[in-house]
Amino acid sequence: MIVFKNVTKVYFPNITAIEKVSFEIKTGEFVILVGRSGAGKTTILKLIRKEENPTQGHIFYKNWDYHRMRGKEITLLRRKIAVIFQEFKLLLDRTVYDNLRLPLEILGLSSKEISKKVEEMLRLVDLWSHKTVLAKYLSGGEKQKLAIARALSVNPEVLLADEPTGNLDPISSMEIVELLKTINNQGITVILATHHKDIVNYLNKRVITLHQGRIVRDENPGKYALI
Amino acid sequence: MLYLLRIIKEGWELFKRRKIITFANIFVTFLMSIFIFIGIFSNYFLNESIEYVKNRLDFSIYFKDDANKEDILKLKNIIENFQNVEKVTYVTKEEALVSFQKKFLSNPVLVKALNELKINPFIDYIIVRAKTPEAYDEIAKYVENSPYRAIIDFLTYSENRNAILRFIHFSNYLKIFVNAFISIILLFSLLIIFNLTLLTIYSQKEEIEIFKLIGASNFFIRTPFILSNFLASFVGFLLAEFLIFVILIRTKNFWTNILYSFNPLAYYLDNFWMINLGILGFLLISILISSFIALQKYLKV
Repeated sequence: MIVFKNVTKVYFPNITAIEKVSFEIKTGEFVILVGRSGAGKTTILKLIRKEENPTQGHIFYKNWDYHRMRGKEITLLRRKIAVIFQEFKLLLDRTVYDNLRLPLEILGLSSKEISKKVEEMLRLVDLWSHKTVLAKYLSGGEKQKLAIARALSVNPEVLLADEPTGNLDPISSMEIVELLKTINNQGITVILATHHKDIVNYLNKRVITLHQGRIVRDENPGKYALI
Repeated sequence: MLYLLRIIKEGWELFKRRKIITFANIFVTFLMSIFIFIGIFSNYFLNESIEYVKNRLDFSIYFKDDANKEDILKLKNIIENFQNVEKVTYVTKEEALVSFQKKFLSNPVLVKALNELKINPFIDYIIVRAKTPEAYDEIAKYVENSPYRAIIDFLTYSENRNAILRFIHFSNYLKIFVNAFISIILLFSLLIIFNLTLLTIYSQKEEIEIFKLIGASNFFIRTPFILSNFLASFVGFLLAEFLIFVILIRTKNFWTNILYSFNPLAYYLDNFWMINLGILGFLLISILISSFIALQKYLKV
């Protein structure tokens, strides 16, 4: 599904984020990227969404070669590959409902379909009772749930989670992890970047370990073991 | 259609929610519109003043008492065919008398004096009005050397010819100055609108990032920004227009007292669509260009 072939990314002026990284992720897999800060986890996620272009190497999503993708195809790709972040990236001065409504409006769904989908998603993440609350008044855990609901609302094939529990307390973190497991059980490929040892070991899924931009371990199932 | 409606709704949402930015946009556009109006009216007042003074400048040819009317009409036709001649009016001595009587009807001393004369003391004359002051010299030269010189009693320019010509010469420089002033206003307006748009978009960069994140196309991101900016500019423009309109109504007599041909209100109403669509068009194009340039940085894929 997602293939990296000898991918290198060098940032200006000469900072190598990842070097000759190769891996393949199959449909429906749950993959955890682990590594210290600066190991290249976020760069890999950005490359998967084509927010960055590789300096060398090739990336494929299904039959799409990233080198050949342009404007509309990139927008389409980003709709198929949703992402959530540590810092949530919500429209804080809009309601919970509006945060979910917007991507569906962009997709061109009818008002009826939008209402149905928003309710479904908010019930999934247990935020239906908060639908009229402004996003800025939610707790950290609730914000992340809303971000996940928003990401899932457009029926993505892949969900990228970049340190989604970084700002959360242990209980909220576990809630998010459970939610990610549920999502993965529904057939959505999940790629989680984290450095939470407990979460990695609890999940017992494929683990790709990065060190200074290189893959040093790729085990399925794997355990948390940094160099 | 639904997609477009949603974009318009999003533009309206931005307009409502970004209160400080919207206020700043309205205020700046209000000021810009006022400056543009000032430029337009400066131009109007200058043109009216020049026109007024130009109209004071004419050239009259007075004929001898025994001059043949046919010869006078022939000369009139010749002068009419000169380049830059706007109008040639032939006033017979009978018409001159009637006009004088009408003008001084309320002055019994003059009327009595005229009646006592028993004869018409006026003579035939033609008034030449040219499009450019320079044309008068050319006509005067021709008349002085023409075969019709014999029937001419005397020629006259306005008494203030030299002063008027100096004013017209000066007014040409003034016109250049006013045009430069308007151009500078427009340039500054463009720069201020551009910088304001840059700041507006910079303050919204996180929101733009989120819109990109949720799969919005560049069109979906860009259009609401342009719409909300244009809406704010439209409100600012309407406020300026309202203020200008009130000032024009309130100062109508004031301008007429300065110069009877000054009527900025009539000028404004006569050119209502041209002035307003011109300013609105300028604002719209400025916002469009600046939004495109400012957003480009954040919309790169």
